[in-house]
Amino acid sequence: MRTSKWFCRVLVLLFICILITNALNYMLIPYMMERYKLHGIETRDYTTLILGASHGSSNINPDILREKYDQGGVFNACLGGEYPIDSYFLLRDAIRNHKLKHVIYELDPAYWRTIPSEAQDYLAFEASMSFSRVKLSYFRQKVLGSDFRTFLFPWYNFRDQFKKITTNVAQKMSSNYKDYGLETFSNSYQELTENGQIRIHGSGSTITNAIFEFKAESLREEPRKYFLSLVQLCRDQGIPLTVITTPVPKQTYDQYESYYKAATDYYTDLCKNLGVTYFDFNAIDMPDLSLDISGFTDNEGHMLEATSDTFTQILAEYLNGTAGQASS
Amino acid sequence: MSFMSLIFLIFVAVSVAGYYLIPKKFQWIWLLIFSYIYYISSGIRILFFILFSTAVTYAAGVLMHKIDAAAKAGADDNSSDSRNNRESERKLRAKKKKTIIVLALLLNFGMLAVIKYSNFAITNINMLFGSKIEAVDFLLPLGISFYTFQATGYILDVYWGRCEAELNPLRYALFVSFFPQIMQGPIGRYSRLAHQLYEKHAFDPVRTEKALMRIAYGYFKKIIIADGAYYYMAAVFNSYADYPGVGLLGVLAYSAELYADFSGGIDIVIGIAELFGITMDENFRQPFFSISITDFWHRWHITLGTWMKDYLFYPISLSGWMGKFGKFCRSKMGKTIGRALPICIANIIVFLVVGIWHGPAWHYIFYGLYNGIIIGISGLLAKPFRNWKKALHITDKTRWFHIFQIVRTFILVNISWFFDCSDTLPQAFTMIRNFFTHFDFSPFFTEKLVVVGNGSLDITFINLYVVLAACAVVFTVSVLRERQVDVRSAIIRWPFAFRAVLYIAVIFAIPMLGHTPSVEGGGFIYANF
Repeated sequence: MRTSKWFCRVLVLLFICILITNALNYMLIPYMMERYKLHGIETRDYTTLILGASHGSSNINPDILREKYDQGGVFNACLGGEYPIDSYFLLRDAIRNHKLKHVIYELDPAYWRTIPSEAQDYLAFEASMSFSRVKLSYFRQKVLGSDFRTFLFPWYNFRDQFKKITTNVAQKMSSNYKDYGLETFSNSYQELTENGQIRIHGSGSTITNAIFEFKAESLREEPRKYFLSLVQLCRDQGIPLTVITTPVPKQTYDQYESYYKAATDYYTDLCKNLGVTYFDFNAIDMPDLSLDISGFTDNEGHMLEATSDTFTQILAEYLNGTAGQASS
Repeated sequence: MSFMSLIFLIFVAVSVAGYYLIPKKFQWIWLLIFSYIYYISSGIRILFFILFSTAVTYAAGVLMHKIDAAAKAGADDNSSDSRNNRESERKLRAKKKKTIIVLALLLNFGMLAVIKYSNFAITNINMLFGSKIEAVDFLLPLGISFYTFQATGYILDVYWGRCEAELNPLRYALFVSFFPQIMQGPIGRYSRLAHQLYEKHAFDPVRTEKALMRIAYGYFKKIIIADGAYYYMAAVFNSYADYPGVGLLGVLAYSAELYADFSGGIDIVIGIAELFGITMDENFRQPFFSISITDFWHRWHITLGTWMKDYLFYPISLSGWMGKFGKFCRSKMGKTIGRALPICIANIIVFLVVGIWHGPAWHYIFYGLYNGIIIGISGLLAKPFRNWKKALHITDKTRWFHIFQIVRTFILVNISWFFDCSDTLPQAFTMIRNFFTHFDFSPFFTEKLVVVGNGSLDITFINLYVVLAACAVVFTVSVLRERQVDVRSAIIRWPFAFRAVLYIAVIFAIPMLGHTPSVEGGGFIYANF
C-alpha cells in the first residue's frame, strides 16, 4: 500500500471520529454550571472575585458583599469540585480582563487531601475557557496528565445519560444556553444567582454522613503548590488576598473537633508564614450566626440561603476590618 | 507518564513521527533520548538507579570483552613458552571473569534487593526478634525489576559467550532503557532486541496499522475488562468478611483483571515497539488454554519464565552440587526419582525467586512456592501418571481429557491467585476456607452487585455483562490464535470500508463501555513491580 494513500485513509478515519465525538458531545453533555461561571468570570463587572469550592458557592452571597464591602462588584466563582489548580487558573483568566481589588479564597481542607476524580466536571472549567495563553497553560498542567478519554472523548463521562439526549439537545438549541441563562440551574431545591451564588432554599435537603479527617502529613503536594501559586499571583499583581474557611454545623464540628483544630492550626501557620490574612470561621466565635444543623442543607457545612446571608454579613464585617492589611 | 494519560499518547505520536522524519542513522539516538525523557518524567531522582544499573552492566560487559579479546590475541602466539602458560592464563582469565560477573550481579541485584526488600527484611527481623528497627523510606524506581533482569541477562550472556559485549555505552543504554518496555516488560534479550534497536527502519503503513490494532486491542482489554473486573475483585478482596462465600467469584474477577491488565499492557508495549519497526518477544500465548501449570508458565509472562529457565533453572540443574545430589538420589531412590528430584528442587527454587520477584511479601513468596511445588510434584509423579493413563486407555489427544486438563489447570491457577491478590497470607487462607465453609451467593442477587464506599460507585449487573461480553471477544481472539490464525493479518486483508467500521467501533467502544477512571483503579498492576 502506498504511504500517501494510507495517510489519506487515516485522515478520513480521524475526520469521521471527530464528527462522531462532536455529535456525542453535543447530545450527551448538558449545560453545566462551569460554563456559566467561566462566562461570568470573563464578562461580568466585578472587582472582588471569590474562588473556592462548594462551601464558598453556597455560603457566600456576592450581592450582600457588594452592598456591604465592595461596590465595584463581586462575583462568586466557587463551585463544587474546584480544586486549588482550578482556582489558580480561574484567577489568571479573570486577571486578563479585570482589574481586581480583592480576591477571597474559600479554603476547604478536604480538597487538599482527596485526589480529584476524573468525573463529569473534571475538565469543565478548562473546556469552557476562552482560548488564551492561560487556557494553554491550564491544558498543559491539568489536562495532559489526565486520562486520555477525558480529553479525547469528553462525552464519555456522560455515556450513561442517553435518556437525556432530547433534553440536552433542546437545551442547547434554546436561547437560555446561547445567552448563558440561569434557568437551567434553578429548581425547587436551589437556584444560581447572576453573581454566582448557589442559593439553597431548603426543600429537599439531605443530611449526608460527612466524614472529616485532617492529618497534615497526609495532605497532597499539588493543592499546596497551586495555593502557593495563587498567593504568589495575587502578590505579583498587587491584589489583596483573604483566605477563609466557612463554618460547619456545630454537631459536625463537635464530632471531628480534633481534626478541625488540627486544620485550623495548619492553615493558620501556613497563611501566617505567607503573610496572608486567614479567617477560619470554625475557630471564630460568631454570636449572630446559629450553627445549628437546621440552618444547613447537610452536615458538611453547605448553608441554606438565610444562613448564608447572615454569614456573608459577618464576613463583610471581617473584610472591612482587615481588607487594608489583607496581603502583606 | 501513565499509558492511560493523554500526554503519553502525544509522547508516542511525537516520538514515532520524529523517528521517521529524521535521518535513519540517528533513529537509535532519537529512541534513546525519548526513552530517557520518558524515564525522567517519573522524577529526576530515579534517574540514578537506571544509570547505575546501566553503568555496572556495561562496564562488566566491556571488561569481560577485553579479557576475551586479550585471550584471542594470545591464542595467535604458538611459541612453546606460551603453550605452557596457556592453561594457567585460561584459568586466570576464567577467575577474572567470574570475579567481574559476581561483582556485577551483586551490585545490580544488590541495588534491587536494598530498594525493594529492605523493609520486608526489617519487618520480619522486628517480628522475629522483637527489635524496633525503623523502616526506610526508599524510592521505588519505575520498572526496576524489569530493567535489572534485562541487564543481568545481558551480562550473563556475555559471560557465557552467547553474545558479544556492546562497546558503545549509548547503544547499550538504549537496550536497558527502551521506553515502551521499561514499565512492565517484556524482559528483552540482547540477542533478539538490541540489533533491532540500532537498525535503520523505514515507515511501513501495513506494519503501522497492525501496530495500532494491537495498541487498540491492549486498551480494549485494559479499560473494558481489567478496569471493569477490578471493582468486583476489590469488593470481594477488600471486604472478604462481608462476602464470605464468594471468594471464588472475586478470584475469577481477579483472573480476568490480571490477564487483561497485564496482557493488555504488553499489547500496548509491543504495539508501540512495532510502530518503530521493532518486534519484541511475546509475553503471553493464550495462558488459559494451558494443560498444566508448567504449560501455564510457558504461556504466561513468558519472558520472565524463559529468563528464569535460562539464567536460574539451568545453572542450578547443571551445577556440580546438583549433579552430586542427583547421583546420591539415584543411588538411594532409584533412577526415576533420582532423575526427577533434582529437577523438582530446581523448579521450587526458581519459583521461590519468581515469588520474591513479584514483591516483598510472604503471600507472594507462597504464590511462587505454590507454583514451584505443583510443578515439582508433577515432575516426580510423571511416570505414575503415564502408567495410570495407559491403564485407563487415556491419550493426551482425547478431546475430553484435553478439556479436563485445561479446566484442572484453570482451577489450580485460580487458587494461586488467592495468594497473589490477597494482602496477607492469612487472608488468602481464610478466603479459601470460607469458600468451602460459608458458601453464599446472596450478595450477588441484590439490585446493586457491588457497593463501594458510600455508594457513589455503585456497580450494577450491566457492568458485569459488559465485562463478560468483552471477555467473550478476547476468548474468541484467543481461540483463533490458538488455531494459528494471525488475526491482525486477516483483518488487514479486509476492504478498507470494513476495517474502518471495525476501527471506529473499537475506538468508541473503549470510552463507551470502559469504566470511569477513579482514584482506586486505573494504573497497570505490573507497573508497580
